[in-house]
Amino acid sequence: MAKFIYKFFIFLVILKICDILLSSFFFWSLQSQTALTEDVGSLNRMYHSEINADIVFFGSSRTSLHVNPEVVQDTTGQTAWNLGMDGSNFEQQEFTLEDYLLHNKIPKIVVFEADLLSLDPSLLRFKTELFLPYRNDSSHTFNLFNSSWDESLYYWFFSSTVYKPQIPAILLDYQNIIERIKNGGNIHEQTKKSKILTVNRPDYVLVNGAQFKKGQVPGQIPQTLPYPFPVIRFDLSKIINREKKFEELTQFANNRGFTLVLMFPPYMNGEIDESQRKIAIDFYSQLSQKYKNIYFLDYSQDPLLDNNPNYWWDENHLNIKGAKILSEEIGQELNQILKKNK
Amino acid sequence: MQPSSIYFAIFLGITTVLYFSTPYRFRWLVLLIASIYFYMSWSPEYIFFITISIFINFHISLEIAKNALPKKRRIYLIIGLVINLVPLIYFKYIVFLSGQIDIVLSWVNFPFVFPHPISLLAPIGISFYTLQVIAYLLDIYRGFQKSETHIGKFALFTSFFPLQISGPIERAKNLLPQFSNPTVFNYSDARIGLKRIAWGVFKKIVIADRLAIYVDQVFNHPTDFKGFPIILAVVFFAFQLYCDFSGYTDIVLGAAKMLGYELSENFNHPYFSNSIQKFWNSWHISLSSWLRDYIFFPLRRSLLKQKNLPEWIVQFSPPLITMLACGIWHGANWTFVIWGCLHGTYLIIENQFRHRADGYFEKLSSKIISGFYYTFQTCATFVLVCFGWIFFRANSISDSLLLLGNITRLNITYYLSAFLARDINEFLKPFIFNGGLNQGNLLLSVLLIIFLLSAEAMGSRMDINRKIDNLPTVIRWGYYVFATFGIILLSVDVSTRNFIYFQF
Repeated sequence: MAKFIYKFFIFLVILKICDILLSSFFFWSLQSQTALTEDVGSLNRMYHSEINADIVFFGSSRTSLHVNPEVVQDTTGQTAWNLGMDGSNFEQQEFTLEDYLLHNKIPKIVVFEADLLSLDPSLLRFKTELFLPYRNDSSHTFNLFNSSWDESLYYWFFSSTVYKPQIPAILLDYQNIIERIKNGGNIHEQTKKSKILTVNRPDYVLVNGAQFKKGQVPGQIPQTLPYPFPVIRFDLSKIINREKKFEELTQFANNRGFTLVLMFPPYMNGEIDESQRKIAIDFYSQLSQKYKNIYFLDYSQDPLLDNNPNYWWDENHLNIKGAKILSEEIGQELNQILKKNK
Repeated sequence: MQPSSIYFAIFLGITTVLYFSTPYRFRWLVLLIASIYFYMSWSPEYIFFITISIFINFHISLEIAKNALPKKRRIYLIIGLVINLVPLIYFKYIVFLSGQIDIVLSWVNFPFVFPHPISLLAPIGISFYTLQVIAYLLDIYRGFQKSETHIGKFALFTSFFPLQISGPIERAKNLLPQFSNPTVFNYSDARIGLKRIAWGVFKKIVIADRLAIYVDQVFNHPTDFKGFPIILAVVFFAFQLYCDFSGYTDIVLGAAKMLGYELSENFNHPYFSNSIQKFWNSWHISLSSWLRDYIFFPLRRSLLKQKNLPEWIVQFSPPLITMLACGIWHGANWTFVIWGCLHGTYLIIENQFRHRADGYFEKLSSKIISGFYYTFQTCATFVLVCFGWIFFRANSISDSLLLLGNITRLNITYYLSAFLARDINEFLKPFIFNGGLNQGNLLLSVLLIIFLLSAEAMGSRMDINRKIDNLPTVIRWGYYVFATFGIILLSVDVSTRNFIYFQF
């Protein structure tokens, strides 16, 4: 049995060495990732203290697709980054903000999505897998996983497995690099001017963490609006019950010295129930009146975007044209807030 | 303690070291303590139940063995059967039965409502444990097996940790002598055991858990899908179930092998079977052989003794009743009853017509034709088995009928046009949906099934273990490292799903 144990031990040592090599490879690949700035790319930059923007946006896809940091930057003269992540709920956004502040300078303004979709826990979830590579980054991230002892042991021994959810992104990045080399380095327009990072692809554009869709999803948007959409109904009780969460967020903003802006993104005309919309708007308005450093921006019935099918990618998300209009509007509002704060 | 978890790996490692470090005559005790610990990691509240059951069964088996009077032996056997079957019926079927009684009573407008029994979570592995103990008592009654006189070894026979959760349903004649003759540590056995565990873990966490993502979505939302996505879900389920259960079996057989124990095989490449009968000879072998030995043969013998019975009853009822019992054993749901009856019907039809067809093709004596015939038979068997899996997996009969109704809406023109346009994204669009697999994982799943079938086909023709052992050390170890990282990086999640057969 001694021979077996000895050989098994040697095997474990070899496994661990290979794991360290593999982990280093994944880590290095993520660090050097340039092509992607949404989700993986943004989180890498955030954890490596590379964002440090004056205005940072947190939210779901209805932030990542709606807010163009380049436009906000041009309007306000402040650096901006969009940390909206597709399918993320309120808790994930709040967690991301906390981790952002651990690694980056405190922004002047944090714009937080006050959307009905990301606040309804039955619709969106906390995508913990996105944070797995940063599991050992801080106790804040480590506690997110609430692992049992055997799971912790597993992640300690096979540390390369924490990068598993990001392997597709890593592979895609290498594919992009190969493509770029094949095409003489010019396939993706990539500029690094005043902290703006742009990747132009045939169907979408990535700008400082934001992702903009060109055109429309075929068949999703009717040619004329208003159109009788199936009305989305939310569980408002769960949203209103989060008042305490918002109070905590406000307190947090006070303590850390940044201004909190709650943004209600636009919906297509008739998509949400009007009575529900009013209840939600009232809730956020009251919240902003109650606390000094909270501002509420309501774009739920934006007259420019509401009835124009040309500005929508699908029934829930704006396209690049719509995002530009909304970002200009947001930029102007933020300008006012910045002036007030001065 | 999931058998595919790190927890189990550590538990097995410690048990193996302790087992081989203990003097021969106390080794059974190490295994018994390990088995109790393993059991308690699952359902500690039932340890008293299992202890009392072991104690009673031990004494009943002794009484059956020592009594010379057939009448007394029979009384003890009946007591033993009742004592074992009552808890099984209570834990698994009482809620279902009371629900059915309610339905019948509501049909006849019965004015009184019976109080409903308390629904309790069944002790882990009760279905497997019950069959193993019943087989033991019946074998002693028939004189095929001597009763075990050492209560510790009997307790170990009924609760040996690799068998506890989902079998294999082990026979006393195979397992009991091994407890009395412990072996020395065998390096080669330990290596084979480890490799088998790794293969089982691969099948479970890489293949079965990946396929489960797609399968669960389709079977839990039967109204949302039509045509090929349902067909794919059924095929995926066939392989999910196989990889899940045979993966579990590989893990426990590998664990037992490390300890020097040979347990019964449960699978023998079932999807390569060219008849339903052969399928059942290679699928969940320990259950199908139990059903054959303790239901099918006794029933057939007793029917043959009845001279006035029509021939069709003698021919048809044993397979039908046996497979019905098989269906009911799997769970308290009409879907399992239908699944069992379906397989019973398959067997009856096959027995009636197969020999004639075989005889016809044998006469042709052409290798090509017989090759085609064999392939056709294998494919037809797979299709029939998959048809049965629809009922096995569906949440209810209405769900299974919905799926069967929608499965025929194939929309071939759509796939054909996408195929002719060489647009893979468009072709795969109906298979990609929220909560399902993305395109990469879908294609990977198909590749994994092909890999599994190829490995099994190779494994049935050659000893792969020996081939690997004959490789140069560097290549062999490189292969082990590569395989380990392959399993880890391709696995769906660390916290794996429960094995499907745990619910039975």
